[in-house]
Parts: sequence; C-alpha cells; structure tokens
Amino acid sequence: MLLEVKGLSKNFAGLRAVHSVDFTVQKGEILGLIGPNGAGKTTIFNMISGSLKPNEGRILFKERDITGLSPPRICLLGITRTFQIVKPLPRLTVLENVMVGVFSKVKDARKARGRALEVLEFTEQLPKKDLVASSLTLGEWKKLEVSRALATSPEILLLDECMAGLNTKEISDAIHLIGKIRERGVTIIVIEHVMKAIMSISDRIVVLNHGEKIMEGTPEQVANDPEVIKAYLGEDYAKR
Amino acid sequence: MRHLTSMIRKKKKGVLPIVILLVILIILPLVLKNQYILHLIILVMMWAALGISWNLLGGYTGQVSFGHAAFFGVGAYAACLLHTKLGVSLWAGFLFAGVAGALISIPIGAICLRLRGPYFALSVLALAEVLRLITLHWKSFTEGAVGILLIVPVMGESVEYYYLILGLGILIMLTIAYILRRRMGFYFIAIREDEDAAEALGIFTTRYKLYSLIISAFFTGIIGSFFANYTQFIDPYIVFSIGEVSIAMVLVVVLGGIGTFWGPVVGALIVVLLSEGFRSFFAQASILVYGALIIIVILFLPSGIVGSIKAKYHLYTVSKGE
Repeated sequence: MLLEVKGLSKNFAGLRAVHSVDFTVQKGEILGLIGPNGAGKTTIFNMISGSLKPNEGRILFKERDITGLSPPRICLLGITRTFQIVKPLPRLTVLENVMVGVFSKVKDARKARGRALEVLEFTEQLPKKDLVASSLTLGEWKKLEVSRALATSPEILLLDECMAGLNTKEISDAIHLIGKIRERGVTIIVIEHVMKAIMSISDRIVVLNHGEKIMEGTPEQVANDPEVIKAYLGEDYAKR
Repeated sequence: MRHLTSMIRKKKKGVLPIVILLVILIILPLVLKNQYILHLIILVMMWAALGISWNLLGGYTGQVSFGHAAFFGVGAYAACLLHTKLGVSLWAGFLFAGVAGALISIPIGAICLRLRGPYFALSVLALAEVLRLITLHWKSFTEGAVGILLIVPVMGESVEYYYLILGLGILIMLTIAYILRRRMGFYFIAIREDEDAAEALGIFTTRYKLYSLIISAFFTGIIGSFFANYTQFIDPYIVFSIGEVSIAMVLVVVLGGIGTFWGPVVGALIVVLLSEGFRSFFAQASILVYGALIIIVILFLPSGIVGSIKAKYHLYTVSKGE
C-alpha cells in the first residue's frame, strides 16, 4: 500500500466539503477521482498535498502518517501535485520553471539544467524551453504543470484536471503522456472531468458526491453503476 | 535580468561593457580632481550598493521592505559604538556592522515573513522607528540626539573612500550575481512569482525569504558603517530616517527597475544627480519637483527604466522567435 486515506473529513465554516472518505492507492496504479463540481475532489488533493489540514482522518504514505505536514515537506517526501488553476512562474522561462522543480532533488544548477532538459524532452516540451511561461497557451500551461511536478521526481503524482479546457488533440497527447509517466513507475491520482480520458487511463475510480465516497471500482463497474449514473454521469451516458 | 538562463548567457556576451565601465571607474579618480564630482560618484556607488541589497529581497524575492533603515542604522551604530566604547578597529567594524544588521533582521523576519501581504513591509518600517527611538533615548549608551562623531574615521581622503565603496559595491554585486545563478536564487524568484507553486515544488518559503532578508540586511549594515565613516557623523534622525534612507532605497530600485540586476545602479545615478541638481535649482521646492518626477516615472515606466528597456527588447525577441 503506497497511500492510504482513512476517514478524511474537512469542513469549511459548517459546510461539509469532505466527509469520512477512505481509499487506498497501490504502487504503480492510476487512480481516478471523479464527481460533480463541489464534490470535494480538489479539497482531498489539498489535504494530501498539505495545503489544507483535515478536521478528521489520517493520510498514510508508505505506512508513515503525513497528515498535516507542510506542502514542501510532502513534496520532498515524494508526493507532488499540479494545480487545477495553473500556477506557472510567469516571468521565468519554461526551462527555468522545470529547473525549480528539479532543485528539490538536485542542488547543483548545471546538473539541474541538464535534468530539466531531460524532463522537457520526456514531456515533449523541449521546443518551448526558452519561452517565458506567461506567453504560453492554456494547453502548454497545463503541460508545464505536469513537467514541473514530474521534475521533482515524485513517487505519487496528483494531477488536478490537467485536461480541462484542452482541445481533442491536446487531450489525446495528455492521455499518451500520462501513460508514459506511469511506465516510469510513477503512481498517479487523477482528478478529471473529461470522461473519455478518465475511463481509458484509470485502473480504478473513486466516485465522490457531496463530499462522500459513493462508489469505487473499475471504470466498467463505475460506468454501469446506477447510483453513479444518477449522481454524476447523467442520462446520456447511461443510454450507451 | 528576469530570465535567469538568458542572464547567464548574456553574462558571457556582456562582459566587455562591464570591464570598460570598471576600468573607467578605476582610473577616474586619477584624472578627475574635482572633489565635488568625486563626492557625487561616491554617493551614487553607495546608493547603488544599497539598492542592490534591497533589490535581492524586494525585487527578486518579492518581499518589499519599507524599513531597511533599520539595518543601515544598526550597521552604522554597531561600527561606531564598538569603536568608541570598546576600541574595536573600524575596519573590523565593517564586518560587525553587517553581522549586526543580519542579526537584527532574524527575529523580525522569522515572525513576519510567515505572512503574505503587506505585513512584513510595515513591520520592518516599525522596527526602524523603534530602533530610532531607542538610540534617541538611550543616551548613556548611544549619545542620543547628540549623535556620534568619528574623530578619526577609517580613512582620510575622499579618493580612498571612492575605492572602498567601489570595492564594496563590486563585492556585493558579485555575491548577489552568484546567488542568483544558484538554487537559492531560483528559489527566491520562484517565491516572488508564485508562493503556492513554490511550496508545492518543495520550497520552504519562509526559510528562503529569511535567507534573502539576512543577506540583504548584512550588506545594508556594511554600507551603513561605510556611511558613518564617510560622513564621520551619525545620529538617530539621519541613519534611521524613513524618507532619507528607507524610502530612498525603495525609490532607487523602483526608478531603476525592480527585479533587474542593473536597475538599482541606474536608479542610484538618477536619484543622486536629481536630488543634487534640484537642490541647487529649486532650493526648498526641490522635494516637490522630485516627488512629481517620481509620479511621472511610475505612471509611464511602471517597471522602471531598466525594466522598461528590457520589456521592449523582450517583445522584440519573442516576435522574432515566433
């Protein structure tokens, strides 16, 4: 068991954003986290990555309790997240953005530069390396989020809607990239609204609604579950 | 200088103008016999050194300080008091001044740099005021408003101070250029650009902001003791001044170009020359004209002189690249 989430709860001034959620993640798998807007998906990411402290519950990473540790501490332990609303370092170039990620593991600037170039080659962003991050398109920003997170050499990568707002071509590129990342042995948790994508890449899917887990299973099980269809996927999807 | 790797590349190409500037600065006092102009150049170099120190924290790390007079004044007083009370050499005083500036910055930074927003900028302003009041009223130790007169400063001749501040300025610039090319420099800039992203990438933001503050305060303290030696006299109103020190440091950087490497040098040149020029032309109205000019520059060149030139240059290269 690489990651274990037990009884996780978070309230915002009386609003139950996440309520007693449990799930586990095995090494090397891709876990999908889906649910309607406001279901608590990003809140769970915020708690795993340390930017929010849960009101109740535990998060265990490799049997170690990491609940409530600070974001940089959790990143250095091996869990790195991307942001749904992208947070590039706007006045740095793409390469420099990725170098900042690499510096979490590599101290020397020259080595970090070399490693960052490797990461950019892997994510196929090398041609953009000298562009200032603020001048990129949304699709490139989303990809830069992934490149930069990958640069920290995480064991678990938390991808928060890295395909939202992308066109069809960019989505299939992203699916391909996630597959490549997994082949490197990185465990991935994905939040995604693009159904085609989440169904094709996930090994297992956890479905949330109103802050609670309503279902967990393979993509097929989830897609055919009446409860899930009612809560989230809608009638159109049910007919297929 | 916003783009670090391009800065490193330009460094190699841009060495020649820097060497020429350096040679001119080294031989200038040998040919220039006008003491007043020499004095002005010393002031420009001193303000450039202060601006560069402030810029590391305010421009590169994004933590604006309205109270760097705290570190400037503590440096000045540390060197003078160690000399007059304990007989410590004024040469050693430069080092102690830096250390004193750095030490005083640690508690305020460790507490206030945890917060985002204007809290740090304002609490340093308060720190400078508190220190001014302490030195003003603790007469048995600091001589209060009477101030401290350095009868025998570290050196005598203006030319000697010229080379001293040139050396100190170069030392500070080289140190900061070195830091900016290392991991620490990348981390400072990452914090300025986006603190959430920086934390998610494994950066302990409070700790790195504190490093930036300590380095900035160390250099500011050293220049404080230079000022004390050069003018031979300090009092609490001068060295802990909000307008003449704290805000002047911000102005030097903002006019020249915040977060640019050469911005503070350009800013120092303009601020020193203008304030001298205005003083003789406009007399009492000089501050008014000075203020109006600053408003104009901030309105039309919001990223400062060097910053605006860079922005233009950058637009050009991007459109060419596409």
